[in-house]
Amino acid sequence: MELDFSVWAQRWPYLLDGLWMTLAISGAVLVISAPLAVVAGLALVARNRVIRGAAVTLSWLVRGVPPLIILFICYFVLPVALNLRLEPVPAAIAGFVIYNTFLFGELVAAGLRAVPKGQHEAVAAAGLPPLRAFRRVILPQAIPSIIPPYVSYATDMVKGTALAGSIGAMELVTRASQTIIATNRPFEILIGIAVIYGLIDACLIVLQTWSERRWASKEARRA
Amino acid sequence: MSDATLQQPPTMLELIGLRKSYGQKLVLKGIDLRVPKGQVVSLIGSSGSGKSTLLRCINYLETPDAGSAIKVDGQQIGSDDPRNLSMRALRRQRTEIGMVFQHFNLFPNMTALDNVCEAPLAHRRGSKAEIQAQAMALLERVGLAERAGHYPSQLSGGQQQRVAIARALAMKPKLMLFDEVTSALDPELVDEVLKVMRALAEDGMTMIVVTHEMAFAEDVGDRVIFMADGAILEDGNPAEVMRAPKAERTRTFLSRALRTR
Amino acid sequence: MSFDPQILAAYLPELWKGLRVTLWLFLAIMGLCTPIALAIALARISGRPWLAWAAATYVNVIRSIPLLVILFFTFYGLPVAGIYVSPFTAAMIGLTVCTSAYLAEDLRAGLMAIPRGQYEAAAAMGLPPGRFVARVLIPQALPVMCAPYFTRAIVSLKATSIASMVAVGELTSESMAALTETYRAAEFLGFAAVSYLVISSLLALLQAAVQRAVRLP
Repeated sequence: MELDFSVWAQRWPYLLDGLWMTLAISGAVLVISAPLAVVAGLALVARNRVIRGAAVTLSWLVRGVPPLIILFICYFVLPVALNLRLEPVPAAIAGFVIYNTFLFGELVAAGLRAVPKGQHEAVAAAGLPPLRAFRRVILPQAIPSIIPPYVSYATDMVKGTALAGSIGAMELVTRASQTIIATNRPFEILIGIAVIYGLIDACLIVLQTWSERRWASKEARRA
Repeated sequence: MSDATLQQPPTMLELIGLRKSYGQKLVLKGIDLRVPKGQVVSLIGSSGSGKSTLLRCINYLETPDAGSAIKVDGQQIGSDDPRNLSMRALRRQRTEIGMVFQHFNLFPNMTALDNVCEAPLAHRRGSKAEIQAQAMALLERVGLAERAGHYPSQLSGGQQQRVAIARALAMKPKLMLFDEVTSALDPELVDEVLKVMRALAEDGMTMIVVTHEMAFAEDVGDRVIFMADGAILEDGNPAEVMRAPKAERTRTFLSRALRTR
Repeated sequence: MSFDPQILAAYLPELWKGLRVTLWLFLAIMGLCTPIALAIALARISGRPWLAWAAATYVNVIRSIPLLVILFFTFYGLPVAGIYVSPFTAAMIGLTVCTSAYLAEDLRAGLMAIPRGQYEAAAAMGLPPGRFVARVLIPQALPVMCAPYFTRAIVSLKATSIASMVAVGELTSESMAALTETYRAAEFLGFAAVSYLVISSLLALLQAAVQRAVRLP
């Protein structure tokens, strides 16, 4: 068996479209799920028992089911239940957002739990309004412990978008499998795809180091 | 003259040109030392003087620089060229040297008895029953026979350290190394450990003891060595070194050590 | 929207078969991954440069590739390379390759939690490496590894659903087949979701029991 990467010469525009789709879905999921994750994280540590109970149950439900099933539910069940039409890409984004909101939400909750209790007592004693206290005092202290695992989850999320093909969103891996079927050149195609994901991973790692340094220097300037 | 040579006990430990460096920093600057069988040597000196590194080089927990020679009972430990080091040979050589650590380092997943039995079992030094009987005898010797079935977490620091001494004795070593073994103990637990060490010294064990216990160094030690900056600054019998030190640095160290004890 | 659980009864044999395949796949993966991941984790902390490098490279390369791409390697690639295996076997190999890399990192974190003094004590006693690993390292690492191990097991259970995309007739695949025939999405996806939820919850319960059994005295 010999490797012949010339298949890429004809097929790269088709595959490149898949890469844009992968990046678009990933970007949308990241942007939408980040604020939702903060809300979910807050709900998971809320003092109100009803809110906390609901968040814990939802998180258990969502994290106990394969992301693939969540995608199928978003594509096949959600439109019927809500009586709307959902194209594959929005359905995929919705599915990944639901899944990652609670995955990230647990991270945020863990970060919030790690903020010393004295800080909560201090903002209460200072009479800060709760929202301002959270935004100015609690969240900045939780973020440094959230960022590194967040980036590692984000890399998993980007790789996870490969599942979107199962409901017909033509992202990179789905187009790769179409190309394999058309050319019967699995190794050439898949090695190329693996390299692309390796590069995406490398970019995110650079981003992580940069963000960690940025947070560290911000902390240092404050101190 | 010939009578005196005959009566001199054989050499148990010999260090020739022992050097150890971490990168550019030389922490042992060519130590020469000869310890006769049965001698108890106290190694004293401030932290960073190289005394713990010296001790840890003897059983190769730290690999000495090439060209250093370590001999226990005439047998070379490790290799004078680190590239030719045989781990299998080293494991056998290490069984001749018992070591006791500052933080005991007992295996928390094993009972006191299993801790003592572990090395003889690994090296197949007899049947399981024989090894257990010997281990019980060792625990008896350190006064802990009735705690044989306890786990380290169920023992006090002093008891753990006595189990660690029994464990180090289990391979019937020719030489015992003690690395600040009372430093991590509450003051009221120090004496029970020193008592066991004293008994061991009286039984004729060759011991190298890195210690801050000046009283122990003076009472039990046959010889005190004061180290500074990776070299031996003073070496003699305890009365000489402790009462009439030659070097200024030894005097400063001793006055400080004796004041804080 | 109507919800008719009765429809499930008609497809119970298929769903049950799918569930069994999922369980077998999961057990096979964990059975294969556990020793492989342990070997990789030990190689990484072995202190032998080339061994540690090889293990680290395996872990980092595999973790940068999506699971689905690895499954395509075994599903499309093996036949082209002249190796003919069933979709189940292809999926099992792909999932094992992937999960073992992640699990190796989880286990390595547990092994690294063992204090240096334990290594030194064993070295000073002349314990051979194999005995040290079996008698000292692993028994002490088990309580630390337990939670991450079961978390990884639940992730890998959920990952078996992706085998449906390479023609393995497991639970997700059978549920989708029934959905396609009946257009009853809520019932069949609900059944699949509840099944996964039940198994992962059972695993969480098992974790608590194992955690109690392996804790240090």
